[in-house]
Amino acid sequence: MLEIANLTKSYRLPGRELIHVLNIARFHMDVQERVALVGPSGSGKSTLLNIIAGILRPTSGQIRLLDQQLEMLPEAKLDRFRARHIGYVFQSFHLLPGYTVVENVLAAMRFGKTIPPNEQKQRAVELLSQVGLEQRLHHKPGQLSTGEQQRVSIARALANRPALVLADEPTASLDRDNAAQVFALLMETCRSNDAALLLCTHDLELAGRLDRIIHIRDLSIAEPRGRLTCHSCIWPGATWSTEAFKP
Amino acid sequence: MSLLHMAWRNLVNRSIQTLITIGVVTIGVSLTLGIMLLSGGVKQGIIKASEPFGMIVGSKGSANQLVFNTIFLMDNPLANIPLDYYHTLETDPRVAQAIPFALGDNYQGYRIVGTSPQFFELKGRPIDPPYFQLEAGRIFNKPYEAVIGAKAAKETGLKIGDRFISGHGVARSIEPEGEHKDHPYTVVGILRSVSAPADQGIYVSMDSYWISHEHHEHDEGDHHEPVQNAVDSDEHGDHEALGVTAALIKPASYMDLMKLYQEINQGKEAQAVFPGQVIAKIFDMMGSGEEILQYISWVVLGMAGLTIILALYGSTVERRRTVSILRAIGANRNAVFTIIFLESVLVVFLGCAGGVLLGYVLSWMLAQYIGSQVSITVSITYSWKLLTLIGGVGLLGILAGIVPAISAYRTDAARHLNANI
Repeated sequence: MLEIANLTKSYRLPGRELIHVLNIARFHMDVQERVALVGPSGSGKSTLLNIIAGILRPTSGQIRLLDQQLEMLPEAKLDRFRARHIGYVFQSFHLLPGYTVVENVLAAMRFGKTIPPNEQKQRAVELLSQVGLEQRLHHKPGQLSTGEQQRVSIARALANRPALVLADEPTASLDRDNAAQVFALLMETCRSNDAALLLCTHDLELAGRLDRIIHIRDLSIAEPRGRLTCHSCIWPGATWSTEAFKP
Repeated sequence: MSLLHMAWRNLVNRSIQTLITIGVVTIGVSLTLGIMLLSGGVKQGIIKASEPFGMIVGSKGSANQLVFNTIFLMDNPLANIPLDYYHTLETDPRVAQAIPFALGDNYQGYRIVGTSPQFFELKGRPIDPPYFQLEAGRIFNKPYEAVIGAKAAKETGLKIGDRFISGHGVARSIEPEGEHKDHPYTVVGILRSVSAPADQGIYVSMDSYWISHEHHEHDEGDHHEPVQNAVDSDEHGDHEALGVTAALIKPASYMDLMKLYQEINQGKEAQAVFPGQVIAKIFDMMGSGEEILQYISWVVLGMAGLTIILALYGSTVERRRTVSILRAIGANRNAVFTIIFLESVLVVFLGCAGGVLLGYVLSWMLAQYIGSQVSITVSITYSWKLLTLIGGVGLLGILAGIVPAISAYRTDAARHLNANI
């Protein structure tokens, strides 16, 4: 579903110094696969997500998603593609502040145009019910707890039935209990909506619950060899260790 | 969910800032409109009030004062013109109609006007119906009968059949000795409102006027009321010596009118004035003040435009976040440009609508006040000029909205999304 090859991203600073932030030789994801992307702050995780979402353009390389060569698409088509096929969950939720909960979800549908207008409200309510916010439809984000805000963000990301959900440290702003709930919800809603999930996180325990873990390090991606064990994991079946990665 | 709805949501989210911006636009538009509406309305009202009076002949002196005396029933009356002179005018073949107009007494501050029944036949234009119409009763046909204007009737409470005693002089006096106790007037008619200063008049026959002043001369001897000062009355008891304050002249033809006008003004006994000319001069005098007010309102409007730019541009930081979120959920650059641009359009539209409403309400209130003070109807009507002004303000505001819309169009979404604002 998603294939990345020879992807680089560099910025030129005002002093003309060139900063290389990303260099990925190869990366792929399958349909409905759930992949965790881990790595230290500043390692380029968010940059990679933004490039996949089409919010940022790569310096070079190829990104193929759902048989579309994204780096070749003009900006307007890329915007439309993002609206229809990619959902985005942010660490700081990024809900539209003046909109109600249901309007935040409807706004995404307005640009996606994959859901017929007469079904949009119903789908928004269904999604918000899935994340447990059916009683909060007409509240503003400011009236919600952080956990609830992130749940709205998840519902919004899935509004247009995307093939891929990108989640940029979705639990980093939440306390432990809320983080566990939101993470479980994200997994479940992605599964029930047949969406693949690429999730950036610092939380190794959460990462261990996904199908695959990718470590982004030294401007490149490394995948662990074989099945490894995470001694501090709290979820059964999670197998992961930082020592296991090889560049 | 439409883009307009999204723009509205963004504005509501910044409600205080939005309200201030709308308020400034409203004040700017309402001030400008109010000044334009009132100045136009007052002019129309004054012109309408002066229409039936044709050419006015009075004694030498201030032309403005003569017009104020006859049309607005204001200011101290000029000296009277001798009755002989009035008769000369009346019998002049170039004069189709001469109507006497004499001031000197009042009732509760409302001026009593000595005139003839022909006064009530005056017309604005020949094809118009008579300017004065009776609401009730009839026109006076003998001394000490009075026909009263609508406002005078309303304010004094006088009704048909009521009797009242006039006071001497044109202004209300608290001293009872100024009253003509021996000659009470009886109200025989009440005029329909003409929404002009004439509504404040109490109209009586010339005989009543002369008899009152004849007695007054006998009773009080030497005094200093303007009318009396104007009277060269060596023959007490001969009321004809009192004369009239003015004569309202309807000429036989336009040529006759101009000849008569020149002739009278070249002579030493009287002056002839066209109310329209005098009023035009007054408007010229008012014009400079009106111009200053208009300049002030333009400055306020300019400030309103700047406020829109500042308000919209000032919220750039917050807007960048909103724009970035919109871009992340699939909005393209054109969509965010449209949303931000619609925000400006909404602010300008609401400001202009509020300005039109407030301008109209303020103008109406001021018109009512002016009407109650000088009985001039200020007609509040919208013209193309006003609509053009509103359109201009709207266009200016919309143009001001392009700046933040372009800024939104250029926003680097990734930069603001990752800033964890």
